[in-house]
Parts: sequence; C-alpha cells; structure tokens
Amino acid sequence: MKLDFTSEVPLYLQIGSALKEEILGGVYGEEEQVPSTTEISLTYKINPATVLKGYNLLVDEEIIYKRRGVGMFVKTGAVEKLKAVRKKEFYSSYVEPLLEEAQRLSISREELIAMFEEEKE
Amino acid sequence: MSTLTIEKVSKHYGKKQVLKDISVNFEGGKLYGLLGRNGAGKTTLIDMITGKQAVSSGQITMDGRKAPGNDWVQGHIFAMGEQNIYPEDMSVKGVFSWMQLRYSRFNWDEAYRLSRIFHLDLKHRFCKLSTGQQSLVKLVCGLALDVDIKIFDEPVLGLDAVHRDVFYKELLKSYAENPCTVILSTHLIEEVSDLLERVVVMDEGEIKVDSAVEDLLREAYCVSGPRQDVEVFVKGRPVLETEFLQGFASATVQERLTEDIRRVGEQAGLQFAGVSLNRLFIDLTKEAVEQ
Repeated sequence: MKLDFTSEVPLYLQIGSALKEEILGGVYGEEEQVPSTTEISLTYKINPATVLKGYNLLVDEEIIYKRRGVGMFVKTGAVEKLKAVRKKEFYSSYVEPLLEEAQRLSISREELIAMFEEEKE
Repeated sequence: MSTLTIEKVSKHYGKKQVLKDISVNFEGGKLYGLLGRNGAGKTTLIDMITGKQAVSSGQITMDGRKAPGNDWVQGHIFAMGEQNIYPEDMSVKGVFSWMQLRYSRFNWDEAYRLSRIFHLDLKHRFCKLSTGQQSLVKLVCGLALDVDIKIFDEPVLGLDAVHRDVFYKELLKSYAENPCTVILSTHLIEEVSDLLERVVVMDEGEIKVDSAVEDLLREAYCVSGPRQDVEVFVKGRPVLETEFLQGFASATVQERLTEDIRRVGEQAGLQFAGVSLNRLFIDLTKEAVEQ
C-alpha cells in the first residue's frame, strides 16, 4: 500500500484509494481476502479507526464486504465496478489536462495524433 | 470501555495556578495524544488522575467514580511516568511481579516476549539500568497489562529510533488485542501524529485544543507564493503564522480550505498545502515573539 504521509489528502482517503488501486491491479482477486485493518494499522503505524474509515468507504461502495469472524473480502464484480467509475473519470482526469498542457506548449492537434499513432507501433 | 472525565479541575501551588479550571473527556477505547510544551501542565494533570497530587478544585472521575484515592479505580489505570517508584534492589522481574500484584491482569507471556524484543535482562536491577532501558521496562509493564486506561508520559524518553518504532507498533498491537483508552503524552509529535485518533493540546494550564486529529488538520492550511500576493490573500483571515523568505511568503491559516478559497488563491497564483500536526502545534502554542 502506497501512502504519502506528507500529503494534504487525509490518510483514510488515501487508504481507500490505495486499496481500490490494488484491487484494480489484481493484487487481491474477487472473493479473495484483503489485509485486515489491524495489519494495515500495525504495518504503517496508523490509528485503527483511521484505517477502518478508509475501508468503510469501500464497504459503502460495495467493493469489499465483511465475512463475520473472518475478515474483509473483495466482492464479485468489484473490478468491473471500479473500471466503470474510472472510465467515467478518464476524460476529466487524463484527457482534459493533456489537452490543456498541449495548448500551453502549442502542440498542434496533428502533432498530438501523431504521438498517439507512434505509441501504438 | 471506560471514560475518564476531568471536570473544572484547577491546581494551585501557593499563588501560582498551574491548571486553570480545565474540563476534558477521555472517551473509552480511543487513542489520545496529550500534547503541550514544557510546563503546560500535562504531568500535573496525569499525577492528579492517578492521585499522586491532590486537586485544588474540580473532579476527576472514571465512569462516574471518583478516581483519586479510590483503589478500585486506580487498579484500572496504568500510568507510566518519568519518576521511578521501585525499591533500589528490585530486579526487572521483580518490577513485573509488582505489576502483577497491583493490577492482577498482567500477561507474563507478553512481558517475556517484549523483554526479548527489547533485549532486557530480567535479572538486572532496575535502578542500575540506563534511562532508555528503564523506559523500556516501564513500557513492557504498560503493554503487558490489560487495564481500562493506559497513560504514557514521555514513553520514549532515551529510546533509540528502532526501539521507538517497535514501541509504536506494539502499542497498536496491544490496543487492538485489548481495547482500552490510551493517553500518550509526548513531545515527538511527528512520530505519533498518525497513531492518534484525538488530540488534546494543553497550553499554560488550559486546554487549547480537544479535537479529532483529522478534524483539526482539516481546519487549517498552508498558503504560499509571492509575498505581496500572500499578504493580500490572507488579509482578514485567521492567520496563525507567516514566514518570509525574501520575496516569498508562506502562511498557516486556521480555517477550512473550501473550493472557493482555493480557487481565489490559485487564480492569484498561490499554492496550497496541508499542515502537519507538528506544525500546527508549534503555531498554536508558541508565544508571540517581539520583532
């Protein structure tokens, strides 16, 4: 789990994002167990309530669920769900800033397209 | 889980008032940081909780029972302080036995395990140990005990970086296994800021902050950029501290960074960042220096 302790982003949000990233990357497959909140708390020396708050974000979004007495597991369909959200954000997170920067640097539309074509080969 | 309630407590030494009518609740099962500069009154407060010092006025209760002078309540509170209260010839193992007598729920297996981790020799006489090793023995006592309230006053005094790191992990481990209320009083704020759920800041005998760490940090931000622009931006805002470096300025502002505020600042070419607990503590408790 990659956390930035100097960031202005609250730790519980970072924990939520990091766990999503790991599920999306296949570190924990569907119906597989994710680390317990205590494990995360001890490993990174973070208050357990903070970790739990981060985990609960994913519980609310139905990405992970709790098996009583066992631990937290990735829900079936979680990866598809995460991908759908990311796709929605793709334009604003990646395309928009790319176009803005291209404009600042006077990179033409043609040049941009050429870059993409080059990347494909 | 037990709640410790401090109600309108004052303490006078002759004419000097070291605690000024303070009220604070240490809620059951939470991990608190008790922060304050030297002489802020932290240790006095802790000594009154454990009955080592009498309150001048006010009340200290655990779940409604008066704490000072009540043996039953005191059997549920562990307080580790700087003072050494053990007889001169007592061995480390003797200290553990003494804990067992005083608190019944002392986990010997845990004490042995932690002693091995910290390289403590149980046969050594406690008073012959170095400051750091004495701290370690007291930490082992606190970690191996199963009590409702654990108070650590300067727990890492004299400990090297590795032992401090181990202590923080072991503290969280024992806290997960035996949930209790923990009060951690320390000057090493940076090291513990992510460990804490809530923070109580004392300043000159008063409670200056009593808040969840997350909420406290959300109510402050740092803004920086060209000096004139920063000065224009912070005008009329609750500024805690401004630092200048030639034409550059950086200010800590105590208010929530809303999207509107951020937009205004960024349009003026300013940059925003979060504030660490350590930074905020310094800005909140330092006295104004005459320029």
